[in-house]
Amino acid sequence: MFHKTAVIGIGNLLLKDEGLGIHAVRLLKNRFPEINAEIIDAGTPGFGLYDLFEKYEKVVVVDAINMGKHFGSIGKFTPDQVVALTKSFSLHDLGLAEVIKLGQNLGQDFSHVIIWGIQPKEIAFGEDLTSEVKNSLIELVELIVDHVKASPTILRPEASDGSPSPSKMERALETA
Amino acid sequence: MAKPKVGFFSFTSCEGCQLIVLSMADRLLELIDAVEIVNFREASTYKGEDYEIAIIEGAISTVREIDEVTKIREKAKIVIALGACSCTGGVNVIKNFKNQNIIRKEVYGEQAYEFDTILAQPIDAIIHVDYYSRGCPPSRDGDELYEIVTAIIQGRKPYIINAPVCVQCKMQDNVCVFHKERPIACLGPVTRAGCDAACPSVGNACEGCRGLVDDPNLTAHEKTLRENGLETPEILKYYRMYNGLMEVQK
Amino acid sequence: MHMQSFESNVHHITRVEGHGNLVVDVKNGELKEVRLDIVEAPRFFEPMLAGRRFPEAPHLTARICGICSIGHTLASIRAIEDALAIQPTEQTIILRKIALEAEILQSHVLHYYFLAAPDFVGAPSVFPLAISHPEVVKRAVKLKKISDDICREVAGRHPQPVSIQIDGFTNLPKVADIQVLVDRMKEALSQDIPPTLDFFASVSIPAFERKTDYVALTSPDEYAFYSGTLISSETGEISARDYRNKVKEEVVLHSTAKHAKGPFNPYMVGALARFNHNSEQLMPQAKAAAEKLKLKAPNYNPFNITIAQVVESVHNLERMVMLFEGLIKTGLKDERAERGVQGWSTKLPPIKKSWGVGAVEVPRGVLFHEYKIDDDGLIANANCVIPTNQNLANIEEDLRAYVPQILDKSKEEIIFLLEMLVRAYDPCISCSSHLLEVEFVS
Repeated sequence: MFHKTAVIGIGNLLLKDEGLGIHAVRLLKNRFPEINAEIIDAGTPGFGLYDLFEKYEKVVVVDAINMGKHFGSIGKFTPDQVVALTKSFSLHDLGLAEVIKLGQNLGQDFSHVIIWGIQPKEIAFGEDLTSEVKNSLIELVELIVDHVKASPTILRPEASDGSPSPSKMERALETA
Repeated sequence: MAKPKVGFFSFTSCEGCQLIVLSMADRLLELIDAVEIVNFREASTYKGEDYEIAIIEGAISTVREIDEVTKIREKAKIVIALGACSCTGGVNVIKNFKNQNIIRKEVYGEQAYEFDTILAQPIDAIIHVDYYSRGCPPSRDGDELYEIVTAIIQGRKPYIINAPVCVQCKMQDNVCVFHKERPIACLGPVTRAGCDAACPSVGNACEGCRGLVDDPNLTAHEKTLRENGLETPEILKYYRMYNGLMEVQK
Repeated sequence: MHMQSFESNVHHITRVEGHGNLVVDVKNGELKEVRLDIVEAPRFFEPMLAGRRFPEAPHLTARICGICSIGHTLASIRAIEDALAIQPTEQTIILRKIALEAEILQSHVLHYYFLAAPDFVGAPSVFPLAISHPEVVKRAVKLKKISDDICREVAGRHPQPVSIQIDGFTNLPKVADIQVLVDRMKEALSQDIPPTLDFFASVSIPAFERKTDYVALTSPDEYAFYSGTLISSETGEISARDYRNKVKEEVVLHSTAKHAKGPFNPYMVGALARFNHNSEQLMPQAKAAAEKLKLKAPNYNPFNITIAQVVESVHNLERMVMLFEGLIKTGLKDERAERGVQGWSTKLPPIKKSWGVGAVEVPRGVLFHEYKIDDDGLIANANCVIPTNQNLANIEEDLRAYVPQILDKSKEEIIFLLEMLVRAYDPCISCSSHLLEVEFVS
C-alpha cells in the first residue's frame, strides 16, 4: 500500500539526544501502529532524505532541533524556519538543513514538509536519551498523531509499472 | 610586550604535559629566555601570583579544583589549555560512565565519602579558555604550545590546523591502517590533525586524543567501523577513550 | 630552641611530581604530628579498566603517569602476556629493556638535576641555575634529550609510547639511527658524566640514617629492571606473582593515595633499595661512580636515593650501549607480520579466562599490574600498585624519626630539610592516587 503521508525520524543513535527522532518514530510505531502514514526510521539518510521528500505527498520529519529553548521543549517548524535556526552547514554531511537548502536551490519549496523537534540536552557519545528529552517523547508522538489525523491523505495502490506516483503527475499536469 | 609572566598549573593529570615542557630541550632554553616563568610547581619552589599567561594542564575532577581554576582565570589575562585532560577531559572522563557510588566504594571502601571527587571535565567547563594546545601528550613534542606562546608574544593568531588526521597521515605517505594486513580501527577520520599522525605513522591507530575535528563525519566513520566488524559497545568505548564529552556543534 | 612550637602546612610541596602537603606539628620541642597529605585528585584508573578490552590496558595505564609511561606500559603488557601465556621474542625483550632503561635515565636526570639539585645549591628551581650554573643546566638538558631521543626511537614517543605493544613492536628503529644514539651515549659517558659525578660528589648530603626494609626486583642475569623475583631485606625472596603476600594497600584518611605496607613494617622501594640488593651487578663505570660518590651497599640514608639514581643513570647509559651494539651486530628482524596484538585490532584473538601479574622496576621502585581477563577478552578486574604508594608509609616513618634530630634548627630550616627528604624519594604522586581493591586495616 502506498501511503501519501510519511513520518520520518532522523538522527544518530550513538549520539544520545541526537537520536531522538529515531526513538520517537519507534515509539510511534509501537503505540499507534494504525496511523495513516508510513513510518520511516531513516537514521542518517543524507541525500536519501531528498528522495523521501519527493516520494510522499505530506512529510513529517522528527529530529533533534536546537531551538535555544529549555531542554525537552517541543517545537514545530517549516523548512525555512529550520534553515534559519541552523548556525553552520556541514561540508560533507547532508543533514536536514542541507537537504532543504539544496531543494530550495533546485526550485523545490518543500511546502509539504513539516518538522517536529525536541530541544536536545546532550549530544555526546552514548545510546540513551537524557531524561528531559525522554519525558517529552510521548507528548511529541501524540502531537504528531493528531497532526496526521487532522490532514489526512488518501491511501492509493502503487503504480505497478513503477511510473511516477500519480500525485507527482497530477502536480506536473497542474503546472503545465 | 615586556617579557610576559607565565605560570604553569596542573590539575587531574599524569603531569606528562609539564614533562613535555621540561623536555623541550633547546626550545625550553629559548622559552626561559623569552618569558618569565613565575609559577611552575613541578619545577620550582618559587610560586608567584603575578602571572599574565596561565598554562593549565589537567582536568577538573574535584570541588577544590573548581575553586583553584577559577582563581587562576581571575588573575590571568590569557589561559592556554595544555593537553587532552584540560582540553577535552582526557581519559579521566571514562570514569564518568561508571556508577559513581560503586566506584567510590570500590576504591575507598567505607570511607568513600571522605574524599572529594566529582565527574571529570575539561577546564572550559568552568572557565573561558583562550587557546588550546591539544594532544595526549601535547602534539609534536610541544611544538603547538611553542607556536601558541610565540604567536602571543608576536601579537598574532597562532596557526592551528582544522582538518582530520587523515590529511596529515597521507602527507606522511602512510598506508591507511584500516587497510593493513591485520586491519585496525582508527579514529583519524574524525580527529583533529596537528600531530602529524604520530600514532598511525608507527603502525598504531589514532585514539582521538586531540579531540574531534570541527564538523566530524561521524556517520561515515561509524559505517566504516561497523564494516570492520565493530559493534555498538566497542564503538562507544573507542570514542569515549578521549572524547567522552563532546561539544554541541549545532 | 629545643622548646620551640610551631605548626606548618606546606601546601603543595614543590619540585615533586603531583600534589602533596607536608604537615608538621611541634609543641614544646616535641613532635606531635608529621604527615604527608596526598591531595592529588583520585584518578580511578582501575575501575576505568574494568570492562575494556585487554589490549587497551597498556595505552590507558600509560596515562597514569607521564614520567613512567613506558614503565606502566611494560608492566601492563607483562601482566597480559603472563595471563595469556605469550612469550615475546628475544628481540622484543631487548628493545623493551632499552626503552625502560632510557625512561629510567630520563626520570633520574629530571629528578637529580631539575628537581633535587636546586636544593644543593640554594636555588628555588633549575631556571635561575641557567644563569648561575649554566654548564649544569646545559648538561642536564643534554642528558635528558639523549634519553628522550632514545625513547622516541624505540617507543615512538615520550611520554606515552606508541610503538610498544603486546608481543612486539609496531615499528622498529633503524640500525643507522641506533648507531648515532650509541655514539651520543658514549660521548655523554665521557664528557657529561664525569662533571655530573664531580657535582654530586661535592654537595653535602644531610646526615640521617634509618634502617628499613628494602624491597626490589632481583635477577641472576643482570641489574634487574625489566623482570625478576621480588626480594626484601627483611622477609626474603618471593615470586612476583605472589606480591600480595608482601604488599597490602590500606586506605589512609589524609591521603587520596593508599599506603602499601608489608605485613610487618613499612618498606622502601626505588634506587637505593635496588642498589642495596644488586650493586654487585652494576656495569663497570657505574660501579666506579658509586665509589667516587662514596656510596656502598647497604646504605641507610634516604637522602642518598638521589645519589643512587646518579649511579643508576651511569649504568643505564652503559647498558643501553651494550644492548644496542648487540642489535647492530645481529641486525633487526621485522617480526611484525607474525607477532603483535594491537589495542585497536578490529578482531581480537580468542582467549581463555585468565589472570596475570607484571612486575617491573620503574624509576621510583617496583610497579605491579595485575589483571583478571574474562572469556570475552574484557578486563574483569585490575590492580595497580605504584612504587610511591609503597614508599609513603616509609616516608612518614623517616619524617617522624628525623624531626627530633633537627629540632635545634630554625623552623624554616626544619621545613626545608623535611621537604628535601620528601623530594629525595622522588615521589610520583599522580601515579599514587590511582586506586582499587580495598583491603583495609582499621
